[in-house]
Amino acid sequence: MKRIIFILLSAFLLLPLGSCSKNNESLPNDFFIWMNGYIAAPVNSIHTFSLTYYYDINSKHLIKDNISRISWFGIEDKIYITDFYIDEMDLENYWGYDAYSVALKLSFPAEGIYHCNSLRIELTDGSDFIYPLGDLNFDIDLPEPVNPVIDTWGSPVASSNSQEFVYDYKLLNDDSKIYMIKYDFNNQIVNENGINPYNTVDINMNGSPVFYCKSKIVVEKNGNRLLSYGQGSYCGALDLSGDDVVQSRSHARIIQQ
Amino acid sequence: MRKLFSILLVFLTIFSISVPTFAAESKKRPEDEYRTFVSTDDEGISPVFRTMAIGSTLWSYTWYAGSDLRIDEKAIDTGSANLSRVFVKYLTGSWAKASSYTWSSSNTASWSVSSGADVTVADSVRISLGLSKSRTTTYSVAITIPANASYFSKLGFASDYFQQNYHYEMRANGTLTNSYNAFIKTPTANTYLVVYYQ
Repeated sequence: MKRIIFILLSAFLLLPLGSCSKNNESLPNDFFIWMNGYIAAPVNSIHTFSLTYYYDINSKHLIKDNISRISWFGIEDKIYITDFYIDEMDLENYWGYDAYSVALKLSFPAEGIYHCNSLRIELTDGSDFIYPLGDLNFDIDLPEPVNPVIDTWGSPVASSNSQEFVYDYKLLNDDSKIYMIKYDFNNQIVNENGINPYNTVDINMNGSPVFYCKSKIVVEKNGNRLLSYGQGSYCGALDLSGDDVVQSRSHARIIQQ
Repeated sequence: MRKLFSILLVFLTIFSISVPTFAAESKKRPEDEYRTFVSTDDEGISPVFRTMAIGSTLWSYTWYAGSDLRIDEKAIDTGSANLSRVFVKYLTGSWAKASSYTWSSSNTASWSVSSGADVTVADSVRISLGLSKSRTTTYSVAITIPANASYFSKLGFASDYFQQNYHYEMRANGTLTNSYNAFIKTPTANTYLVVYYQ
């Protein structure tokens, strides 16, 4: 009988050990939604785009009023964040988190290709934190012509499908055609005979639930090739799932390591 | 007997340790088991898995009015189409020369039926094809929406739709008593935010 009691006690004592998970201990309780992106823009222009910060209200997290400065980690002198606007989000799918929208006003002082995957956030007390975001590729190139050759304002600004980039452009001259659309750092469509101004292309998310695409467009007019740029689209942002939130959290941990 | 019982207990002890570990590995997300995930697909299955040929029966139903009168109803496929970025509704009020918009609420795209069609029949066709009645996008990601301030604009919501055309027939003891052509439009998984210009 003593042996049975001993075995039963052992079973109850060992039971909790079986359900412990090492993964659970090191996952961050505040993180940005994982967003890869390709951002093409003319030099010396300004563009605002948003990131999404999720946090567990019961754990240590950023307080929006305590943030004094935000910069791109590693390329702070190449892509400026001249201003930022942080607001609380009223999440409809709760998933156990609260969230801030973090809108960043960017300016691009120099032409070039710049890569970044993290954000540095400085607080009013002098401390700072590095937050992983995703692989963001900036492609800063020549200004657009004074007289626009293409209207890109009618394209979707956000979509639910994270696997596709949908564009809807309008050529402003009959004698012009789209020669190239670059929609990802490693992907572009090129056609000497002209590209359909409205179409859908597959994108390689590389695992991220949201992809931000601000395209670069080359329009050919009278033998000249002129640069233009899309307005930006958040692919996959309208259908974020609980799995996507979990993936973002795991991604943040992997980058931090 | 006591020995057998002891072995059984030891086995149960080992099992109680190994099962949660196995479950955690198979799901890979043990930390989130307590959360409730809400599907953004409100009801049905999208996209359409289409195997039927034009002319085939999409839906049929036989019933009896009294003991003698046999009623046969059916909907026959007369073609279908995928519709891209169909306007659903405006999300902002009046036309304005705005330089940006914000989006902070859910939006729903719902199915529709051609005018004059019997909604009950249309719904039966929809269900038989496994099509969604509505699709809701939820506000979970921050989005800054630029707009061309030179023109009047509104922020709008659009969705891809699947349109199924059909021919409906009702026969009473084999005699045609009612027929018409109709269609249903059902939202697919793809939804969009678009700035519309006047």
